[in-house]
Amino acid sequence: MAVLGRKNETPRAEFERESLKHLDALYATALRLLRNPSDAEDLVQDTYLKAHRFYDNFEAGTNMKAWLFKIQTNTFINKYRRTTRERSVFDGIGKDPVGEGVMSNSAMRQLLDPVGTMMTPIISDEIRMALDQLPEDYRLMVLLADVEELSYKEIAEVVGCPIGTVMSRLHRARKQLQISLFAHAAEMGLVKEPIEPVSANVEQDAPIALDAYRRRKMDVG
Amino acid sequence: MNCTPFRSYLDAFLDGEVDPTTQIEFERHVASCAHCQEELHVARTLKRETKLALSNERAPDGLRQRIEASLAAAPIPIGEGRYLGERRPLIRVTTLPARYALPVAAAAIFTMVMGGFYVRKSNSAAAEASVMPIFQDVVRLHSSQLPSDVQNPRQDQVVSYFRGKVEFPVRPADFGPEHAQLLGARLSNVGARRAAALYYEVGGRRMTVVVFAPPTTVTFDESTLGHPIFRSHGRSFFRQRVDGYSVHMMQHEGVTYALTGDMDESRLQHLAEAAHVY
Repeated sequence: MAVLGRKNETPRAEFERESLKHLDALYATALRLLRNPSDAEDLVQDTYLKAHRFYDNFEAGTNMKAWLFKIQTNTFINKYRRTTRERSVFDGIGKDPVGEGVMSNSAMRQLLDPVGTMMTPIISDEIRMALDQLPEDYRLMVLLADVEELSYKEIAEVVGCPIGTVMSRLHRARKQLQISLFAHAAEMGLVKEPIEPVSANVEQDAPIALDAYRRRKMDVG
Repeated sequence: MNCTPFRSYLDAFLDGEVDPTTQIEFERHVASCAHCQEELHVARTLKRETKLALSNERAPDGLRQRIEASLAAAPIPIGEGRYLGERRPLIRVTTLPARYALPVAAAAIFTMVMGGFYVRKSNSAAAEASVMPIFQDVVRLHSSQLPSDVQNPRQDQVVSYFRGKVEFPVRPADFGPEHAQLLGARLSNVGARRAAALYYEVGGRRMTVVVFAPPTTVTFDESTLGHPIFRSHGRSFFRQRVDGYSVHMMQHEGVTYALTGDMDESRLQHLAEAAHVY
């Protein structure tokens, strides 16, 4: 049982005090996953009820935020994804292999290093829009890694997959995000340079486990 | 150090997930390589902008109240996901009158003897349990319908896509007269090991073939998989049922092929028999 309690505090009060700190983060992620405010509210409420019910399983001293995200992710997968699956596996944005060097770095700079701060709200809108276009698995990676700043280990826990899968999925997600971002920016004339074709050879260096890299290094050395 | 390892682990480096030695090595490389410097700068900026763009979201005022109200209305949890007042199975501990003592003792001895048999039997259950997660992963790869990395690939494109990504050759199976169309392929995992998932369509139904090298910790033979359902060309085919799916598995030149799909078991077995890998 969690030992976060203060004197004379009921378990529910303790649970509320600790868990409601993460309400904004859970809601923001739910909203980005479901793209619909009322569904997002329902998901978050379900998450809190479930977390309260299983509060016993929470180990004091571990990351409560990651624990809540795990519950929310499972609830999302079980309840919402099944009914709202509109995306077929073989079409949509995830269909093509993602390569590096999608756009030149100078085009990147034009978009990400605008003169002054005037552009920031535009960039934010673009990023939100690009994120909404990512497949759910990829979107979740970006949200957990970049917005919530969970560690790879925590993300692996939340999503229920090995760290290596987190790494490759996150890598793809970020590349895909760049592609959508720049395709859209080019359409809107925010970047002048046309998008360059994907170079094919880079698929080779999809991220793999870091220890594989170290092993390889040792073999050479 | 050249750019290749750095590019591969740029994400991990950016997220502070590499160990200190690698960190120093990467920093040294970045300092001397303008191209990687630029790449890192762009990735870092995008990460920062993503956080900025998405971290201002606040939960609506009403939501907090709704949650507090629903928690107040919820029964009191008593652990294990159960609520106060909810029925649950209990092991009843009751004291019996002395006249039952002898029969109870006899029953206890009987249970102990039976227990001995169960322990023996559960050896194979434990062996089976060691392979179950692998079958579950195969079913998960089929049922979760994840997007393909390569779509509508030719056979040789599949071979080259997986080259260097997995430590064994991935050759899509040919189903001969059974018309199976290869729709896509995805790099994935079975247990902690990398695996290739190949997605097919057969007569309007989805079928997934997962190719992987068996984990060294698990033995894949009759001791763990039970009797093969059939043998063909000197190979044994095994079958397990998981979550309503039937998974057929066979090994060929040290590589394991697992096949599952939305079609019925006999149709799947038929397809497994027809499969050839060149």
